[in-house]
Amino acid sequence: MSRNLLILTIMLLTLKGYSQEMPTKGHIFNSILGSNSEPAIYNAVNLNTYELLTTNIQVSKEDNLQKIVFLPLKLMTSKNIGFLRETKINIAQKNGISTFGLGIGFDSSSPFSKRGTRILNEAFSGFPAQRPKGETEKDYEYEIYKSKYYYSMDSTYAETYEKLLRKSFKVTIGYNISLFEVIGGDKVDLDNDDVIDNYFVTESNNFSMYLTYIFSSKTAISINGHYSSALASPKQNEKQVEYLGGSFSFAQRLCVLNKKYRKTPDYLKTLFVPSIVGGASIEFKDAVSNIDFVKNGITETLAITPYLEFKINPKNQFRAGVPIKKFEGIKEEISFGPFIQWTLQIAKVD
Amino acid sequence: MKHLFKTLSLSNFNEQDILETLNEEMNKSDVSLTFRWTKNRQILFYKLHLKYNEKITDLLNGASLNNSSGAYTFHIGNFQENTEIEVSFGVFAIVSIPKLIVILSQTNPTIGFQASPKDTGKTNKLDSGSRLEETIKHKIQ
Repeated sequence: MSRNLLILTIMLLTLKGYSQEMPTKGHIFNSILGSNSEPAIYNAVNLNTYELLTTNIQVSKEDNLQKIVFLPLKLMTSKNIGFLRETKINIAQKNGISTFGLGIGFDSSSPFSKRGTRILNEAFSGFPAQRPKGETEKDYEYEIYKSKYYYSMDSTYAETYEKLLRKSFKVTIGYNISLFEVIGGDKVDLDNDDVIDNYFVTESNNFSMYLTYIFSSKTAISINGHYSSALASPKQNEKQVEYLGGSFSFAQRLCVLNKKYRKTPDYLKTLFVPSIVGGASIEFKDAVSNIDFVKNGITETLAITPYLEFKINPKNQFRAGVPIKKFEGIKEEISFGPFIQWTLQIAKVD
Repeated sequence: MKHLFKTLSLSNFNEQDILETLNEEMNKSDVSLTFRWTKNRQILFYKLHLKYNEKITDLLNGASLNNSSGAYTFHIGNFQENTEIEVSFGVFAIVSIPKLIVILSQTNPTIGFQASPKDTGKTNKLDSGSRLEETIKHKIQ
């Protein structure tokens, strides 16, 4: 029994590990955004990120993924770009398939949204000015006053950004195109079966929509929908298979590791709470047309990835999870595929 | 708001006193402190202290000021030539502010210079949640 427990613990810590540089604020929703929300099936096409730059490398027995999502307009300081600020570009490579995507998004927790501007305006309205040192006041007394004053200011700031997060949502609509390895050159029939082997260039077209809702800095959920039209291979006799799918993920802060976190600089400046977060991602993908032409004979895929996330400090955060995949089609199969995922995020400049 | 004739004695004055007081007032320099920063970025002015004749005055009158217009000018006061003043300010970036400069200016004669950062043409950059506090010493010319 204890041996099994030890094995399970080792598996939890090694099957999927990741570390990441977190964004300046919004640590809870970061747990279920991007590749964290869809780590198994839709990781190549996922556009559900809100950081300036997110890179992701995932290695496993079956899948190898390299991915970058970039939000270039976050580098611009003008407010006139409005909702285009969340425009994102996806470039991914998974098992020889190249994917390029474009998405637009809306983030109501942004301090530059109408809601954000209103909350920020209200937050510091009537905030007292720092008074000068009194004539009879001693230096140390004035220093104590200033310390309390700065703490009050930083607390108001943190509370304001907590308020920005509460009951906020993020929406992204995205399109991705995936290309086979060979995208040009002569059409050839290498195996002499009267079928051109490199007839098609486009592997799939993917449309997706992502909705993330943040109840508070403790709880967040993400619901995503996908439609794609894909080919199993570039061969001439293949037919487009339509797929419908989606995912659901949630994150819940389970416990706080430092009860006095509200006084720490990490919380006051970035809302970081040292804690353990629990959650799960559930992804599914079903073929709905031309089922005889599905890739590897798989018509339905279900992936469940429960995880625990250890948020020690902003630069030391680790996730342990066990992805479980179930395939249906020619044969039914359940796999317990380990993968390693490494993610780096560069926070938005604002 | 400019207040003229503040030094005029109401118990004993004539035409000459009015003209002399006016001349004296008009010869004074108006000193202003202007903040320019990236438009639409929320900034909090929480400290503006004037040290003059060994006395420190809170020019914000106890209440901080939240603004996102990208430009704001505080009137510091009217001073005689060769008066030495010290202005201390504190601003808090409610969101990140990519560019911010502070300009001190006076009239009679017209003078204006970049007070922060000291190098003219350079700009300050404030991260969200950070403060900038500085003290500017100026001798009225």
